[in-house]
Amino acid sequence: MLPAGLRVPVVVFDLEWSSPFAYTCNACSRCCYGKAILVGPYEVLRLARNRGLTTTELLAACVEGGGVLLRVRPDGGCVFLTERGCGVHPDRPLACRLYPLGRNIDAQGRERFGHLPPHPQTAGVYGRDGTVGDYLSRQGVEPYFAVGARYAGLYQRMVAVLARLAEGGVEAEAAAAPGMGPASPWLDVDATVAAYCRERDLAPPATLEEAVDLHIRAVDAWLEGLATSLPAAPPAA
Amino acid sequence: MDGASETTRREALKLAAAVAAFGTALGFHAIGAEAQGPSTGATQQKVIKGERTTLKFLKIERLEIKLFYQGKFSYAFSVPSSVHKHFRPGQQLELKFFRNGEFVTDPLK
Repeated sequence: MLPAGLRVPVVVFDLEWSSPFAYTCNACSRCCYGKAILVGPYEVLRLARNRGLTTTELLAACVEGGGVLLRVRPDGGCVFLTERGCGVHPDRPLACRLYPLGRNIDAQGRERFGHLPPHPQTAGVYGRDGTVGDYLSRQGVEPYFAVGARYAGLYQRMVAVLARLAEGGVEAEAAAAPGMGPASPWLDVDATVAAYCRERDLAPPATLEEAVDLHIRAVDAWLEGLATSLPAAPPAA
Repeated sequence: MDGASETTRREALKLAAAVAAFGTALGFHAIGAEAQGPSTGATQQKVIKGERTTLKFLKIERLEIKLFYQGKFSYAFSVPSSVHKHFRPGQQLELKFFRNGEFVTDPLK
């Protein structure tokens, strides 16, 4: 039972792409405080390029929680918040683009969106003279969704290999929780890609898309090496 | 343990760490297990006290934590099978809440 007085933010994912929705941000920056912003490899890559850093440097300076959670300042503000608003706006993370919506994909692959609780003094203006799809398109979410789907596929392949290891009697545990998750060197795109290119005498990536391609290929190569070291699965009965 | 199995276990630990890190980064942590999809959004940093409850069961195939508000379902958190498969009679399920990487003992402060 939850403690009395607990306030859990309630998000009901009942919106679709065609649902009526509009939101005008008036740049009050109140939503940039007290948030837990999770970032994946693609978001870290874009943030790093925005700041003129490698992903290794950005992860060290601006990300915590094992490399998945943006740091916050002592006053609770986002590490990238400046006096003039977001300091990385063209490359802001997906969660910031979705806001004030959240996105959920269920086990059947159905995509839904829900309203996140707004700041009580937000200057943002809600409306219904558009759709969720209109709003998301203006926020430039498409590459984040597309690359996110590719990384989700990679994640599924990781889980499959881990399951095979477990079936073979090798047990390994790791907790997955922001703030306490174990760091994985594979999250570091630039370091992973540099090692992969060096080992195979490949040219370094010239674009973000090439970096993502090489990153996924590098992790897949590691997974394939792990999988081939395992005994063959017994034939299905 | 021989050299080969030691290597395999070391790689398995690396893979488990990678699964945890990628799963969290991609939002799979919020909705849980690998069988489900990711969830993305700017979550409020709210915390509650850790609770300690002893669960007894022989075998489970799925473990979910569900949140309801005024009787209406809002969130489901599925515990990954790689975790709940280790549950045995008498073991404990501990819910802990963190903020900025630190365990919080009083949620109302």
